[in-house]
Amino acid sequence: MDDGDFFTIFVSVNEHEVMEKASITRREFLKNLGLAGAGVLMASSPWLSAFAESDKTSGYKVKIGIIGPGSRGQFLMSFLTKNPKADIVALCDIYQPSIDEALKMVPKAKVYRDYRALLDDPNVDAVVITTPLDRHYEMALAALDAGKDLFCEKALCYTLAQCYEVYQKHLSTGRILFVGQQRLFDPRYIKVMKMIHDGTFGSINAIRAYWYRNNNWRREAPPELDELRNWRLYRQHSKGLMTELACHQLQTGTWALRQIPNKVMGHGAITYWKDGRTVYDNISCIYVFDNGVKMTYDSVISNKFYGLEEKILGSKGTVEPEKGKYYFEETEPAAAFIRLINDIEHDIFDAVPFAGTSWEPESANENKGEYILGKSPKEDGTSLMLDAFVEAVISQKQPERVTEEAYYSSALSLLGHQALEEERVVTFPDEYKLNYLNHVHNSIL
Amino acid sequence: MKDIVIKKQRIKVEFYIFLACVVAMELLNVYAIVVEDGKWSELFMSLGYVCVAAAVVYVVLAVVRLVVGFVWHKIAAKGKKRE
Repeated sequence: MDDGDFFTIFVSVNEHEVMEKASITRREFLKNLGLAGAGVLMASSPWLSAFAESDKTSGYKVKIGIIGPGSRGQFLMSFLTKNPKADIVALCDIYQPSIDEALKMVPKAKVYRDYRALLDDPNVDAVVITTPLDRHYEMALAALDAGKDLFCEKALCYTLAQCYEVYQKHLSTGRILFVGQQRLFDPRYIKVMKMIHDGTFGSINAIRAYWYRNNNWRREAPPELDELRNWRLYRQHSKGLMTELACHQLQTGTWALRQIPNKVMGHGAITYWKDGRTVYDNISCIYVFDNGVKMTYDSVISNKFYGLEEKILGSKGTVEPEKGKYYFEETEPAAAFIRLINDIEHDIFDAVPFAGTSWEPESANENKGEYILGKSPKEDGTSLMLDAFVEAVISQKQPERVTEEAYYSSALSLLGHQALEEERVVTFPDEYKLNYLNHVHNSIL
Repeated sequence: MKDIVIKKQRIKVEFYIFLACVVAMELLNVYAIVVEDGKWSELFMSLGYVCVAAAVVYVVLAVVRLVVGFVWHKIAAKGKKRE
């Protein structure tokens, strides 16, 4: 990455989280991860340990093959090409226009039509899979079996059983496995999760996640290529909104609560985009944690007014990490002098006062909140996540919990989709639980 | 055009009037802290608001004094003419 790239972190200076803004370069941020102050971030985000030895990995270069360099693949490539420790040496796709576009970024990369041939290339250390969801399982297993370290876009696989098998293969082969969950490396999320875990916002009792868009998600394509280009719209290739959007946001809930929900219910339908797609365009799920806390997830792609957010509701405050803000329930009142002036003003200028009514409902808080990091978040964690992957491949150290977090976000999105399809309460299957957080794997099953 | 001469004495008087406004507003601040259940640290933390309020009061007083002075001057001048 360029030294010119930078982002802003806040350093807590008192227990009430009054923040002092400090702009630092990425290099300084990575260096500071070794310090005690930044070490506390790892309690909430242990995968940051990927950068612990970044000083020692200078001079190394990871040779990467990209399988499926379409729009998402090219987006990831745009970051990898800027990392001096990464070299994209191979591309594989069956869609020539994707190859042509990708070659503009890495003209010297070797091109393959069959991913197995790429995996056989001894010059490739690691692969990045950005193909349609239904291809992840076969390719991920093959990559790990071929001794390649793997970055697989989310969701991990098309079914929960496949996700579990890939996870087990990662463990048995000892290869590095990352999944495209960039919020884990987003500085806003890292900072605010620490605050949540420190109890700054009290006890978290609800999470409201949603993603509203207003577009049909469809790309121009001739009929014979429609399914290939628009794989997200067809259930034989994707689970639609749950795996393509919800997967990211459900992970925020489990990260904040440090628990996995064990039940989910929901409903899905095609209410607007009736264009031959077979995935839902209107979904709503409720995930229930063991303590009764609920995480709701809504997605509608025929209205974009509310955009996307994961509202984390605590007894002392609310977090909106997408907006980059948090709000305390009780805010400091204005200075007494100002309140007195206001009272005098109201006494002189207001109409006849009347007593408030007991039936009047609470209106939404107009508290403007405070920024987690700064006015405009500079990045969403994608580049840091890819940097972490490269560091992990070089050091051959799998950062703690990064794969488990990704496994569960995929699992929850798939279970949510099952609930939408079956219209019943779905319980997390014991056989697919890992020894993680509140889950215990039952090896007898 | 006549030169306006502001004597040292006049500056001193205006300074004391402004100081009196600040003291009055700070006393109002004390009253506000008691009545509105504020924090005593606001005696210092709200000095900014106190000074702004004092400046407003000073300007209003200055306008009032100017008007009263002008009217008094006119009445006195008329009285002298009759004599």
